Amino acid sequence: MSKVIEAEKVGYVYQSKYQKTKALNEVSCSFEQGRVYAITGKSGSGKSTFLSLLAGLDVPTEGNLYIDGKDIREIDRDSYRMNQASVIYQAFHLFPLLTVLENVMFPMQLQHVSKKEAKERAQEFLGKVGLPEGLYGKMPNMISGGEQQRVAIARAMASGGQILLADEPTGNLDSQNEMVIVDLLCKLAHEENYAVIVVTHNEKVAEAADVVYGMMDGVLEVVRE
Amino acid sequence: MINSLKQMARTPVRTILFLILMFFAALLLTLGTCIWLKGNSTMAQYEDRFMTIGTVRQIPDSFQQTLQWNAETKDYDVRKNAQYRSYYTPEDMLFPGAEYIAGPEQRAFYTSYGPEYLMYNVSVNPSALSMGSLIAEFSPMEDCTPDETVKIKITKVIGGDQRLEGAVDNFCDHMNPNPKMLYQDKTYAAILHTYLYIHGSMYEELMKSKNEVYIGLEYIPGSLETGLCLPDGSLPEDTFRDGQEIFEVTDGFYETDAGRRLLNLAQSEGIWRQCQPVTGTNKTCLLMPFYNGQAYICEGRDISEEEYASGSKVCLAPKTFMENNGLSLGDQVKVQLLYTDTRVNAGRRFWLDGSIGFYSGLVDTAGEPLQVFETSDYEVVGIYDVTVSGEDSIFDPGADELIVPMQSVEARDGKNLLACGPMTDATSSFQIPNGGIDEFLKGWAEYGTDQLELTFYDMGYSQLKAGIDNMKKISLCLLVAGLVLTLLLLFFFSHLFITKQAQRTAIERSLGMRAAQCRWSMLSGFALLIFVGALIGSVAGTRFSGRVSVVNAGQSYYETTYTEGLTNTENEIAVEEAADTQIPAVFSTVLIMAAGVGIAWGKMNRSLKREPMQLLSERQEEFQV
Amino acid sequence: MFHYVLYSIKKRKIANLVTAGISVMLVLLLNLYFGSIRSYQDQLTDLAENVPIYCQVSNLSGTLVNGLFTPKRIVDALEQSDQVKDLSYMMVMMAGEGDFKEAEYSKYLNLYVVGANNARAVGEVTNDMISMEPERVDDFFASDRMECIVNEKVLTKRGWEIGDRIVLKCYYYDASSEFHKMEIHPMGGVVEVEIVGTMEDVMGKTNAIDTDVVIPARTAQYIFEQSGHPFFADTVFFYVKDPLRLGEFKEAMQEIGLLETSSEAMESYPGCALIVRDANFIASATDLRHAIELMQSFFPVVCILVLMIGYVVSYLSGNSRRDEFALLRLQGVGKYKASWLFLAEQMLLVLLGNLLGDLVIALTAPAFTTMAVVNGVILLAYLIGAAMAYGRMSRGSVVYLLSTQH
Repeated sequence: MSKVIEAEKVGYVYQSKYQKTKALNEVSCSFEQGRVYAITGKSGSGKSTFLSLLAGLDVPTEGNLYIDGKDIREIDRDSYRMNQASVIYQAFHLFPLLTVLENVMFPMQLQHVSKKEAKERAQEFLGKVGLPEGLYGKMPNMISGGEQQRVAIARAMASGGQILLADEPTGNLDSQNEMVIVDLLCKLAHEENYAVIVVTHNEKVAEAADVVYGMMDGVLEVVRE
Repeated sequence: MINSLKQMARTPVRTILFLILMFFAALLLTLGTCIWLKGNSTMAQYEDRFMTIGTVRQIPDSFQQTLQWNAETKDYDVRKNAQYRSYYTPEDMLFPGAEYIAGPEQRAFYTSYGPEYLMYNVSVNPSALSMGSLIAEFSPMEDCTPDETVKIKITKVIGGDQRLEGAVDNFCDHMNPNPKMLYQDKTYAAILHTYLYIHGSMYEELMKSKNEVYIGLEYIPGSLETGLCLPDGSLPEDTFRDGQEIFEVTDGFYETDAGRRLLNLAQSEGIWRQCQPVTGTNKTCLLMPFYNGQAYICEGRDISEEEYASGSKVCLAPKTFMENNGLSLGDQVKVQLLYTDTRVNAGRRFWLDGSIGFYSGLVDTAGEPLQVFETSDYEVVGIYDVTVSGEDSIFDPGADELIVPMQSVEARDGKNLLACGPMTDATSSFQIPNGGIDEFLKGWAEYGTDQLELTFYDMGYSQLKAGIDNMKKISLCLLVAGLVLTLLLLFFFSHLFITKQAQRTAIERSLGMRAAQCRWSMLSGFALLIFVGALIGSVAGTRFSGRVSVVNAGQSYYETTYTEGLTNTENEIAVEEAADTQIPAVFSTVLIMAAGVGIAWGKMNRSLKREPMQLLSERQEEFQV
Repeated sequence: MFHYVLYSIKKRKIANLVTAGISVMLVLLLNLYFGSIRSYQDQLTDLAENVPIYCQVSNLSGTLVNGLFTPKRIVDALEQSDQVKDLSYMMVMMAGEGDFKEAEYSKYLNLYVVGANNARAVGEVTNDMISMEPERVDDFFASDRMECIVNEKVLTKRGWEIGDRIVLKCYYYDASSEFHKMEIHPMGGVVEVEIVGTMEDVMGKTNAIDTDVVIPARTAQYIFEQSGHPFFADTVFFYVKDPLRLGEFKEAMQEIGLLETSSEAMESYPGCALIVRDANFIASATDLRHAIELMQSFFPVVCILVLMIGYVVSYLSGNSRRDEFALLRLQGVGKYKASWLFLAEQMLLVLLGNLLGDLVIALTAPAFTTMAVVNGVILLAYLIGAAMAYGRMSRGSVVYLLSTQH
């Protein structure tokens, strides 16, 4: 299995208005396609921060982060997020004023895919995540949390990338929906060869993962491999 | 952009309210600009009605007293004559920092000989005997000494109104303390001027039986000397100066110097009834009758600045002259300049009631009759009317007076100068900017002379200046307030529109949209909203203010019964209304677009500068912003 | 809960600054708008005060303003009119000293006597040309006493002195039907006047004649009345009292019987027409009235504009805080209380903005009534907008608010 992401002593400092916070401290690890990785830890341990670095939303302040062997500082991170990596969040972060179908079409439209093809593929992705067709025309605030998260996953698949980053994807869901999402994520990894990296403090989600890393005070350790 | 528009359309209430806000912002700005432009235009027109004119009078250095015999009182009258070491010129009024809009100038008026024209004095009294002056042979009705009024018979009119030939009239050698006796059987020749009322024993006898006072005048003899003077006010040499005035007509008299002189003088007798004054100036408003409204252009136009500067052969002509001679606007008037006077203004010679203060001695020092020195044709570009004034009569215009550009008269150096004098209030004036009197006087105190007395007329501007400045200040503040308010509204709009959508930007960034794409996605919809709102608002503002102007323009507020002169209340700015109203609309739309997009761009940049992770991590604080 | 309002104001700095700023500018805008109208109106008043309108009685053809025969009834009517200011009139008589035989009038009749109601009416005369205590000059001209002021030259020539009582036999002018022809007739009897002052030698109003003796106009009128002859004024001029009421003035003049001049009319002596030099005033005042009306015509639009801006800004401001409103409701704050909190915050900001705006206006061009009206209008507009926004929110369910957070 090829390593798609490799972190070498990655560190990150948050600069807020009043203070500096070292969120990550010499984190070293790697991620491969076809596997589900869980990063666990308490709130404030730095997991979401690390995930955002993996998503290319920012660059490490210390250490190096390699995407397909290239330093993240040297690649086009926008292009990376558009074509390689996708992120799903606890709060879903769907476009509130676009329908379910339009949300999934959005990344393909960014890639200049024709509307017709984008629509067809969006429907395909929504089908894969098990969303009934009747919900395609609904606004996000009209569907349940689990359904919203499935839409988010479908949108992530629509970008065509092979890396899926999930920040507490089941945080807002009930246990039934939680399992549905976990199954979907595992399916993406094992059947679609995604590298799925999930940040969670949910044990059930961690149990389903192939590799579990534990984050504490910004330091990453392997819990189970 | 389509997604952006789609999302805007799915919040119709908010979108419409934003549109309304932009509409009002544009309406406010357009109306504010229209109000400011129109207000400024009206105020400029108002301020232009005021003019500040100064007149100049040279103060005499001294007064010379001369004695003149008065045959009535049998005593000498004391006459005071102002004396000047030298005459100041308008050039002496140019000093550093002096800001003149026109002038200073000292005007000459010329007498134009126009036998083909019907002059006012003739039209008023066509059959009046021109008794004022004549050159005649006469004999006394009896032997007498003309030290009081005596009767004479005019036996022959050499120059003047021929109808007086054979008339018996009154005569007195009034200013001669020792007049020679006149004999009934002799014939005498003299210049005869009407002077004062008759007096003496003959007169008393005559009046004994009558109830009414006979306001009769007597002739007195005039000098044969030339009436010419030199530009410095001195008199040229002439053998006839202070010489004999009454000559006995004997054989060969008219071959003598005196006889020839009388014959030459006779050629000009009565010429005044065929003359009209022509005044040269550099600006019409420098003439006080035009300045104070006593004279006003009732047809055509004023002489333009360019025409004054280039000395074009154009003129303003009085209405009575035009009517008397069947002339109309655009016609040519032939001007034959005969004499020059720099001492007084035309109104002191050619009175508005038709009487004329004639000059005497219309010959040169050699005794030859004075000739026309310049002939031109002037086109009448404006016709003016005059009303009589009880005040300021020294400024009265002359009857039949033509106003011409000073530069149009080639012989400006004073040909055939029959009277000259220093600068006076009626002949010398200048224009300075409104509100500039104090500034001018400061400079004058430093560089000017006490010998020139200045009098200013500003139509009350000095008292009104503070108010005018206040109006301008408030008007400008209103415009600025409108601008600032519009900017604030734009800022408010962009704050709600862009800052509130930080989450959307973060999501788009997290999906891989580039910063430029995010900016376009956000701003395109924003710009469209602004543009549509601004356009509608600007157009509505323009239409409304245009309609208001049209209604406004037709208003007249004051009754013009009894009014002297034209009020010029036709809305002079009406013609420019159509063009003016486009400018605020364009200005408003462009400004709002530019400012709105600019503010939004800045806000977007601020959002985009922050990493999406930070934006997303602050999502819970959005409502606090 | 007031603490929450203050906390909220502090946290939402930018939005609140903008809201308050808009409120300040609306206050300034409206006050400046009214101030602008007021400045034009002030200028109009100043114009009327500082640019007097001169009026002169003339003959019908407008060619004579002196040497007229203006009937007493016109003079009296002008004197009594409340539209007329600084009326000046004079009449001219001839006189001789002493009680001479009328057959000998030609010998004695050599004094020009002018009756005037002020120095200005006499000619190019100012009070300082008269040798009398300044405060006495006006009193002299206003009186009907048998007093006179004499030309210095005449005084010297005749050997008179101040305090002398001189006896004058007066003759009046009468216009014949033919223009340019005038007759003079005895008034009958003599009058005795005391010399109370002297005057510099100046040219009189009526062109060629000198002014030898000046008597008060009322004294001259008395002399005419005593002799049973009609009194006529030679010259009459005055100023419009209130140029802003020019229409009323002209109506009053028409009622008096004064006509407009007509250039087609024959030359004549009766003073029956009026010339008013108001062209400049009319032109200038019309400009100002145009400007005032222009501004006033925008009034409804400006008002609606201000109201709508206040409403929309307030509404949008309120509407943008739905999530916060929902959270408060979740915390258990009642809907009216929550609305009230937001409304209070909004009104506090607007009030602050209004006060700031008022301060600027008070320092520059205070007009307290206007300020009060403007404040009321703006507060009302904002109140309505905010009330609409929060009312809408409070009507909905919390769940709905939470689900429609965006």
